[in-house]
Order: sequence, then structure tokens, then C-alpha cells
Amino acid sequence: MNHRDSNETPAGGRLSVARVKAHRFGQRALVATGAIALLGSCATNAPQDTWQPKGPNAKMIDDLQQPVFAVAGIIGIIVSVAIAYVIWRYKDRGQPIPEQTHGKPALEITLTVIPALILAVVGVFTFRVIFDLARTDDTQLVINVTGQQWWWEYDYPVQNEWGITQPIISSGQLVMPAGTKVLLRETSRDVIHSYWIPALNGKRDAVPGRIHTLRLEADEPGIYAGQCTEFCGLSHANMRMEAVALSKEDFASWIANQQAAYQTPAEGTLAKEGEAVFLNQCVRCHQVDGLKRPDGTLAIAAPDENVWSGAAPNLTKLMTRNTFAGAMFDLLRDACRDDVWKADSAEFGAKYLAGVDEACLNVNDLRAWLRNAPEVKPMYANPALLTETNGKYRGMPNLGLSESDIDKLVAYLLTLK
Amino acid sequence: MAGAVGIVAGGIAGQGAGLRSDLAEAAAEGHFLHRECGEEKSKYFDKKAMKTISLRTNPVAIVELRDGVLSAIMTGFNEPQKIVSVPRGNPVTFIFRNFDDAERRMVASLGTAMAAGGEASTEKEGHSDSNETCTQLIPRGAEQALTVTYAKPSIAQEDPLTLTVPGVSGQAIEVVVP
Repeated sequence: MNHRDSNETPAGGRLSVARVKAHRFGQRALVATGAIALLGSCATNAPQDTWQPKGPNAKMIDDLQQPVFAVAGIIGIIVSVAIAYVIWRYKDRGQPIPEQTHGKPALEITLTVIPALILAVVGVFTFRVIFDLARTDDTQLVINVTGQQWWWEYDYPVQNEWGITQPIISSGQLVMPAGTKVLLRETSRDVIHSYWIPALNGKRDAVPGRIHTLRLEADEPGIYAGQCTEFCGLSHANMRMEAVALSKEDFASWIANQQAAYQTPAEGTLAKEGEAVFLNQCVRCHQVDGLKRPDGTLAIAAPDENVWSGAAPNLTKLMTRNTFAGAMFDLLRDACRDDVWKADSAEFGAKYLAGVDEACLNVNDLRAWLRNAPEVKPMYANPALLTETNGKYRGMPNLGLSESDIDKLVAYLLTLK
Repeated sequence: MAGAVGIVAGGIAGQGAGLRSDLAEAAAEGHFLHRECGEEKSKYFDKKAMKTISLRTNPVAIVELRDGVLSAIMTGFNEPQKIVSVPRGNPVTFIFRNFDDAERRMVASLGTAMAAGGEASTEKEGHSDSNETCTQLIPRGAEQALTVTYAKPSIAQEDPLTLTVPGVSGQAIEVVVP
């Protein structure tokens, strides 16, 4: 007797087998769903967990969503149990059909009024939070944030009260003082992106031609991870960001270093040769403030001539950041990265400000990126496919650098701090 | 039903009426290409549109001329600013509001460093030869938007990038392009 035979009934064996299969599938789906929910709630290393607010803006959202989730959860359980009970209690057992009735006005009005009241209460608190999160009049520091495929640019406008006497431009990591009301002025250079650091606030779209604002404030120094949350093309999933909160003293040090003059590498060093490679290859798109050509003129990058979005990451002080390539890769080796990420508040600033040195450099990923960037991060950088963008890249192309040039470039990039 | 018939009839009648004569003449003059910072080359410009700017909710800055002082109002800054920082290679919109008794226009200098093809701004195409662009003359209480793309950074320019108002001396907003 085969398996099918064992489940056959006089009424029709195939239907019976189908029921058994459906039953088993249902059981497995139930177990899998339960396991996912259980295991998902067990994650301890979840830097983008929306249930772990680390600043007053995110706490406002959390204070709203916790009770709403609780009320919705209780109602959901009551409804689910009621449905299950009714299905079980009144299933067809051959009993006669009960007397049919139509309409119970008192019950219907009650079941309309109760949800309306619940939604009204939720609405009042939601509106209050929305307006609080939209405030801009108490801003202490403004940072311009511009999204493009697939990285974020941060520029710090002149703000003398913070010692910012000339614009600072960076990417990958947003550096800000802890305990400070920071206002991001967001826009986009190409398509719609969305900025989201879950621990610090909700998300806000970055839309071309518009300036949208987003408040951020971190209670404690540390690194807070985020992710572009508006699908924006091939490498949307790799468009990450990190907000780095420093104490006010450490932030002042960071500002001072970012504005420090460019230091050209010493003559005769590998880094000096790397500077020449950079001038020949990279400066077509990447700006390093203060870098001069051999004739003494400032090297001005021209991403507007080569990149569809009109911009490429400014690499001035690159090694003061911990990430590159749109924060997809770490500049620090795992051990060094963990040392920074897991540092307590008191030690965090010093460890972050130490930047990246040769011992801690994640040289493998950096070399792979320089060797053939589109191979490690999906981008529209194939010259054969550039007809729709007037020959301009969307992402970094493969520059065909030799291993020798890569050695020199790595040595040079290490000096940018 | 009657409403639907009315809407359709209105649309058909409107088609027969055609474009407003002043707009038709402005279109023939290439009105929307005219951003010269001298005499108006167009006989008409649409004064009715000046108070219905759809861009007013999200400019990078609102530049006001009030009591002979030019200042930029920017979200997030509690005080009027004299320096405006804008992203490079990205269209940005300024709104100019004139509170002066005379008709005024705002002029944006685009710098000497040009983008590929010799264009300092995508908005510059088809405009005058001078390296600047501007709003039209607007009367007191009016406002106009000006969208500009700065392709090159400020450090590439010989002179600072500015927003100025001809006839108002000693007043300028510096535009910083990082």
C-alpha cells in the first residue's frame, strides 16, 4: 500500500491527500512564523532596531508606538481568539441552520464608536508627536544632507558658534555632537532617497529640488546605523549611513581637524607617488581640499563632467571616517571596528577620533574597491550602458589600475586624516 | 450628470477661447528663456503668476530685500543669514521677495569656472552671454523663484559667488558651494 492509498477514503482519495498536505503545510507555516517571530525578538546585536531609541526624537516615536502597539496587539488577540472560537464552536457538524436575524443596531453602533474613540485618542497623540518632530526653531546645529546613487553627502554650513568657519564636506558618516538638537536639511541629486537612523528618529525622504528637514539628537556618544529606505536603484540595499555622536569637546576637535590644512606627503615616499596617481585618475571626480597639481594650481574635481548625479564623495580627511563606498564597507578591520563600536561613552570619542591607521586599515576591501569597484558594489558603471546618461557614470567605474598603482593609492589615502 | 455635461462643455468652450493674448505673445517672444539681467526683452511677463509660486514651500533660501538690507532666511537658522551653503551640482531654488518701493530683481553670479560644455548652470542654457542669471523685475510685495545649478565649487571661482540686487549697494548674499 502506498502513501496515497493510506489516505484514501471511499468519498474520494485525492481530496483526502490534498487535505493532509494542506494540513501539514499549515502546520509548518505556523511553526516557521512562530520561529521567525521568536528568533527575531531574540536579536541582541540589532543596531537598526526601532524599539531601542537612543535620543529624544526616537523616544517620542517609541512612546507613541509602544501603547499603540499594545492596544492593537490586545485587540488583535481578542479578534483572533474570537474568530478561532466561532470557527470551532459553530463548525458544520450537521446541525440545523440557526434562525437568521438581520441587524443589531446597538451592537453595530457600539462596534463603530469604540474603534472611532480609540483612533481619535491615537490621533491626538500622533498629531502632537508629528508637530513636535517637525520643529525647527530650536535647532542648534544645521547639516546639509544630499543623497545620490548610492551614498550620502554631508556638508556643514558655516556656523561660527561651532567653530565652522569654512564649509566641511564629508560622506558615509554623519558626525554630530551628542545632546544637541541637530537639523538635517535633506535633498537629492538624482532620485528619491530616504534617510533613516532608527535609533535617532523616523525616516524622511530626500527629494530632488526640495529641502526636507529631519531632527536628530543622540543622548550619548556612539555610532548609530541607518539605511536608505526608499528604493533608489541597483545598490539601494548598499546605501547605508552611520551617525556618529561625539561629546561637544570631541566634536570641536573633529571640526578643527576637518578644517586643518592639507598636508602633502613627503617627497620620495610611496604616498607621494600615490598622490600623483590620485591626481591622474581620481581627481576627475573626487575632491581633496587643498590638493595641488604639480604646477601649483588647486586640483578641482569635475564630477559634473563624469558622474550622472554631478557629485562624488569628497575624500578630504577620508581616514577620519570608518566607512567608504556609501558606508557599504568598513575602513577598519573587524577587531578595530569592534573596538570603536563597543567602546563606552567615555572612551568612544578618543577611539573614533584616532581614525584609521595602517594597522587597522581594512586593506582587503579597499584594494578590491580600487581594483574593480563595480565588481564589489553593483553600479551602472559599464561604459557600454552609458548611452542613457550622456556617457556619465552612476557609481564608480573600473579604472583599470595596476596593482602597483593600488599600492601607491592605498599609501596616499592613509595620509588623508 | 448635469455637472459632468457642464464640465465637458466648459472644456470645449475653453479650447475655442485659446491662450490669453498676452501669454501667446510672451510665448512667441521666448519669454521663459529671458533671464537677462538688463532691460526686459519681453514685452510681457506673467504678473499674475508672481504670487502663485508653487515652489515656495521648499526653497534652499528665501532672499528678502527689506529696508535696503538683503538677507537670506533659511529653515533651521533662527537669524537671517549672509552666507548660503548649497550642494554642488544640484538644482537649488531661491525665492526673492522684494519689499523695496522700487521694482527690483535678484542677480545670481554663476562664477568663472564653468561646467563641461562651458555652461556654469543648466539654467543658463539659452540665456545671455553674461555669467549671471536673474529674476525679472518685480514690484514691492512680489516674489519670484530662481533655480540655479552650481556645477563647480566656490574654491574653483576667482570671485565669491553672490546673490545681489542691482541698485542696492553694499548688500550681497555669499553663496558657498562646498
